[in-house]
Amino acid sequence: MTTTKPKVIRCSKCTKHLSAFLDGELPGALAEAVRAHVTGCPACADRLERLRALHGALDQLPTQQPSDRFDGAFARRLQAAKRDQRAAVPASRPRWGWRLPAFAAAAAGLCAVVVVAVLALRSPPPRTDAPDAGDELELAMNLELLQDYDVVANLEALEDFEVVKRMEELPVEEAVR
Amino acid sequence: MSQAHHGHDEDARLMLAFQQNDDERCFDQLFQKYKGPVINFAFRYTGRREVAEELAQEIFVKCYIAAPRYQPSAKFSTWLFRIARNHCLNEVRRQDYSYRTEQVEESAIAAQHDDPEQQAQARAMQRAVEQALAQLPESQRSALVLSRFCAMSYEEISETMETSVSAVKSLLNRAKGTMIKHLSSFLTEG
Repeated sequence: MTTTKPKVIRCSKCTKHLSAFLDGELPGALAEAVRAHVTGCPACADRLERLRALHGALDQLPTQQPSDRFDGAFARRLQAAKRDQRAAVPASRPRWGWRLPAFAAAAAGLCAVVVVAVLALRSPPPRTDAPDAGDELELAMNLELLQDYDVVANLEALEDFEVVKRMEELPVEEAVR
Repeated sequence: MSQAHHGHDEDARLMLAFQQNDDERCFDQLFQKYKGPVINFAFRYTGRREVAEELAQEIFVKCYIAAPRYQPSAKFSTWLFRIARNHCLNEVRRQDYSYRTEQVEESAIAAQHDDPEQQAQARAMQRAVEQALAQLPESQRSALVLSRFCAMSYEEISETMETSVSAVKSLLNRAKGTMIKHLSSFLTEG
């Protein structure tokens, strides 16, 4: 049976890994390399001993045991936190509550604007002949929206619409006149 | 750490039972198991037992309230101590606590040494260790406390402190190196 020799490491590398070695956090091969190095190196062996002594000193520090009143104090604190949490929930509802109509109104307004924009873009070009039943229905459905429509409201500007529309077809003299 | 690993975590099972079934007995089991370690962890931030107990109570209240957000992918103890560390850090900053080494517990030392001279020496060493620990930068101290007093592995510490395992290794190396320098006179005397 053959045994693999541990990897040889220098003091600088060994020093870097001593703490993890003592904590049992090194992978097997590296731990073996550190162990082998420490065995033959008094300086690193001394470092390891100091680390062990430090661990011992830390472990000697007294631990704090919970006092007799700890559980009771925690229970009271938890009850108070639960009360605060319950109190916070209804308080937050009215704050949002009074804002809801405003949000709904804003959303409705936004929808109206979108509808107007879509209708304006999709509506066919103005026709001179009488609107058919479908156009009348659409107009009736959107009458309120169209009341605020700048172009419709400003009807005076449309009085010469036919002239403007036919401008390119008119002879130059007639257009100037 | 893998989720499969946490599948065997009894603490995580208790926490999930509390989270999903509102079973307060499960939370109480966790509270009883961890109240001591959390008090000791908080004590390393303040050096005052009463303040440490208050902080520990606040930490458990936070855990109780945060329970719905607990993910079983995290080991319960790392989740708990992450909350503990953040709370201690915030409170220590907010309250401007300065670490104060409390009167060394005479009885614990007297029990170890009969000789009054040895008792005095042990008391001095304990005070020096407390002070050296308190003077460490917060991240080094947290890593060392989680390692030595909470018996956490490097991987658990890295999860608690939200850093890498190699960073934890480095923090512990530096923490121990600094403490050995501060305590050189005590440690060489054996």
